[in-house]
Amino acid sequence: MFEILIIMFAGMALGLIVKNQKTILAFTERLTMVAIYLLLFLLGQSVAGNDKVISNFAYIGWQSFLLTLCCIAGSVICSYLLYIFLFKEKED
Amino acid sequence: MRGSLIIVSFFVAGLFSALYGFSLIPLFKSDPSVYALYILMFLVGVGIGSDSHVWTVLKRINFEILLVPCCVIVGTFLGATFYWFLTKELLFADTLAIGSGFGYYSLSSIIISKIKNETLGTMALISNISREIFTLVATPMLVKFFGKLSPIASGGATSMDTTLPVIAKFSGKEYAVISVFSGVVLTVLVPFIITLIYRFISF
Repeated sequence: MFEILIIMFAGMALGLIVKNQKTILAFTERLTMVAIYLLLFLLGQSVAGNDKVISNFAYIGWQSFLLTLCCIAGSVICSYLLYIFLFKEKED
Repeated sequence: MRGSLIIVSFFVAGLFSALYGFSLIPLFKSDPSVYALYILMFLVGVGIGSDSHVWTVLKRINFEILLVPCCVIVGTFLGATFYWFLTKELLFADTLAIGSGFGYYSLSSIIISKIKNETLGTMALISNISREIFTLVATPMLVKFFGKLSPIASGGATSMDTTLPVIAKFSGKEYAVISVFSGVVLTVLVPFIITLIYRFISF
């Protein structure tokens, strides 16, 4: 899956070149949304074909939520330390 | 918020249409949807490369401001590791990868479902959407108890757009710049971090 990074870099290079072409950029933006919609629709479709996900949906949902709470807690605590030591004094 | 509702509705539409007999899966079983992902990654690249935001923000880099997204990454990894020790529900790599969406649910769920499977993709979707919703709801409280950087940390990649208004309101305008910066850096890093995790962590 390393290839997706290379593909993204190629996109970034092109993005730099067409930086001021408003119509092209509006078009890519719309195309990006369509690609995202399509891929999420397909993700929904393949989830429907997976009994393991369907029958455990509530459980999977709670696990995901719990994971997020842990991630948020971790980053909030880190940012709090950073805030106290580096940012707060500069305010007053 | 409206954007996320539309995105979720596509996922739900796919789910229900297939449950009720309209399935495109045979069509995509041979996996041309990998090419759809390639196209998406290319388009995302063009979007980042052409975004004047990204380049002006990069010019503002100084040491302190750079520490903010670093903090979010380290904190998220610590939190994910804690979850992993607590539940032993998923592989360590999967736990980190889902956390590394930093709220960028559309891209992270698609990438993870392609690299691994749809179960983990769904978890990434739910997990990262909740990160955005939590931040929208909890920002006033976060600022009160954990300082003005905390909603930026909580918002992760979303702090550059969807959660920016609420962050600017409660942390103040001077933190809006930091918020955009941190969000841009994390948004750009999401595909890298997820791919690197799967490349180097196998347990």
